[in-house]
Amino acid sequence: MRAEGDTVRQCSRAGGASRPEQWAGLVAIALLAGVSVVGAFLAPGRMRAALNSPQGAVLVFLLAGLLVARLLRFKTVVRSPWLLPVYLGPLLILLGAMYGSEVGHEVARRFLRGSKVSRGYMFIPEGSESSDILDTDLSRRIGKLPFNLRLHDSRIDYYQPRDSRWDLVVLAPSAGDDPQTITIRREQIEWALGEEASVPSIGAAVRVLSYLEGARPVFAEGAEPLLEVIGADGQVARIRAEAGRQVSVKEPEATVRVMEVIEALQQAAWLPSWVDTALKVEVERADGAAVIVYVVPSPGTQSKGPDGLKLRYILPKPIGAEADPDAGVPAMEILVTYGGRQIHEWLIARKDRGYVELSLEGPRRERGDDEGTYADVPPSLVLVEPTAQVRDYKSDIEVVERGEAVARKVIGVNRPLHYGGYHLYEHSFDHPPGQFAVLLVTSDSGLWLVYAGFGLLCLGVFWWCWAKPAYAYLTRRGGRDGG
Amino acid sequence: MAVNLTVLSALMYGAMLAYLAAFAALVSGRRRLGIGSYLCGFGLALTAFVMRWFQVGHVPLQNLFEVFLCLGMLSYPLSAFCRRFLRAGGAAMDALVGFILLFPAAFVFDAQPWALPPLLRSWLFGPHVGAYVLAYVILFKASVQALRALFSGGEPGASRRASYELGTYRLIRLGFPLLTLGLLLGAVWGKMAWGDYWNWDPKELWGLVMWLLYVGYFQFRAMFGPRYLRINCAVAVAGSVVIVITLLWVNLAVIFAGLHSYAS
Repeated sequence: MRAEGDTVRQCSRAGGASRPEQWAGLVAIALLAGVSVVGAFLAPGRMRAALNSPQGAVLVFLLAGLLVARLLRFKTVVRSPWLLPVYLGPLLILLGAMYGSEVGHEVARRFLRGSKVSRGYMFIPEGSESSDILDTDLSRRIGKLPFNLRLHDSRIDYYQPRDSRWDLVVLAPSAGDDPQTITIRREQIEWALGEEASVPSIGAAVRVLSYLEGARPVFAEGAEPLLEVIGADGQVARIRAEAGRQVSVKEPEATVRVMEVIEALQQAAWLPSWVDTALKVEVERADGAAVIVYVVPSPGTQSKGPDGLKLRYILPKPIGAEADPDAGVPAMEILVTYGGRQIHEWLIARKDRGYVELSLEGPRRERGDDEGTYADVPPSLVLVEPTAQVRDYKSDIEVVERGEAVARKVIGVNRPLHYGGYHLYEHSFDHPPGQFAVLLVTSDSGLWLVYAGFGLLCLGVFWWCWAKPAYAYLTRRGGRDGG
Repeated sequence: MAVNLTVLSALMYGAMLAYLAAFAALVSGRRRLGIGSYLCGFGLALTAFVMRWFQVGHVPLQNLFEVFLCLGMLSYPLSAFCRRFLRAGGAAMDALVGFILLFPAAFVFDAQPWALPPLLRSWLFGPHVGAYVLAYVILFKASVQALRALFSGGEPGASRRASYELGTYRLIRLGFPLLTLGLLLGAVWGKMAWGDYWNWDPKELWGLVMWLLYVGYFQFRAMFGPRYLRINCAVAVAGSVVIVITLLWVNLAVIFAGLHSYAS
């Protein structure tokens, strides 16, 4: 009974392959492998450049020649199905690769009146059209597409965050080399409900007492926003901070009127997070002249009105938060241990701001005359929306030929547009979307040859390694059972 | 080394224990207990793999953690197939390899699930990595057989050596088409994603080296058959070395700058 290894050997011997020929094949394989190992240690660009050089081209031709010679010499090839695709496949791949290479395109341009560019980039502002193919730096034009491309829209798609829990981070100031600069370091706090977590960088600890996925602030009983008006004589009047409310003042003689309660104020970071309003107040003097004053709530300070009037917007601090599924933003109740004190606070987020910050006043230091170091910037805890992960980069592009739109596609990573002998790829990853798109352009010359080669090689290998032995096994078994 | 207490980890630790128990039982001659334990381990590993699939919402072959989990899971079915149809491999060694493959997944690699980045959102992702993963396991098995052939000493071991060598050959013949498929699917995917089917990336080049090594193995064996047993087996073992380089070194070492940097 023949051993399996022998079957293979007899096939190749029967094919007329002489021992030197077989050795040549083995040496070629070893050389290719060696070149590949060397190539793995080089920068990718060097290998590509090496193969596109004249010497590289010669080597590739030699390899292709070897395969052709093998095919021509082999009489069995026609009779033995598994050998033909195994040699023809790589040959087609090589031919396709040569045709599609830089050198191949150069040759086509010089001798065959070809006009294709093998590889380049395009830069298209949103709403514009272009057919220019540019170099890697997007500075020099190296060719033109046989059609125009119009960019309708470029955008980034994000995933919905799987875990909607907001992150808790600490912003810790630290000294840089330059005493004039302060570096703020941001560190993640690994928090879990009900547990105490350490706060890195500032030697504090935080316990998350409660976390509400959707929440709104809760104020104390009877607490309401007020406008406090303090006259020049010290007389204090308070009215509700509602549009239309007004009060008359004696010293100076004026009427103070709340014109508007401004919601959704664009915030400065130094204001507490639960503040989102300001009051637009009109002070009308006895002679009819009116002045508009904006009063921002800030504990302890007063807006200075005209003629010595002082205005104060008293906005009560929420005493907590309650669940509100429609709020869309969370609230977190924390107990912070820092600088020998315990701080019990609510971090209540607002819908149009992706974070809420709590400043931690540290232990007070004696200030000298020329002190003013990083220690004076208090650290803060921030409850922040988790960063969304990119799902895809997309460009909505349209092919325009002779003024007519002929094709349109939204391309993304892994989904290029194939048109007019070119593949066009999404390539703007570093730029904010909505302004322009950078596209990668590659020629498809020789591609079908390469893919045909892939298919043949795969077919041949699967046939020889799987199908043939499986068939032999099954017929052997069938013979044994039947015979 | 980090021990973490999730259901997924528990399943993996359970599978590892079952594989180890199977190895011990099989080595000490308790075949039924060994195979039963091995099957148990497979059940646990398969559950872990499916759980991970549901957890991340896509084929779990995106990072080294998931790849090694898959490798560990495939241990039993592959072992059964090879023993039955190729008459190659032993259950004890296979169970031990299963344990070894699960070890880095359970204790070393980061298991953080991550939504697929844009580059991996392709229908080719599963087949490309899947073909390679399966090929690696099979070729690794072949190397083990080759080592057994190399270390079956002396004259009396000659027929055992020959049968191990034949087993090595059959296993390489089983895994090579998957290697080819993985390489070519990678090229097609490269064209879809990066604009070129070959980018001279270190991972691609080491993949080519691996492929050429086995082509060379077949060429040599076609020329001389099992006559130069030591050379055949040495090449098979060298294949494993290249697998390790391609799978781990390229991803983890800074000297190989390229497109394949894993999100791990």
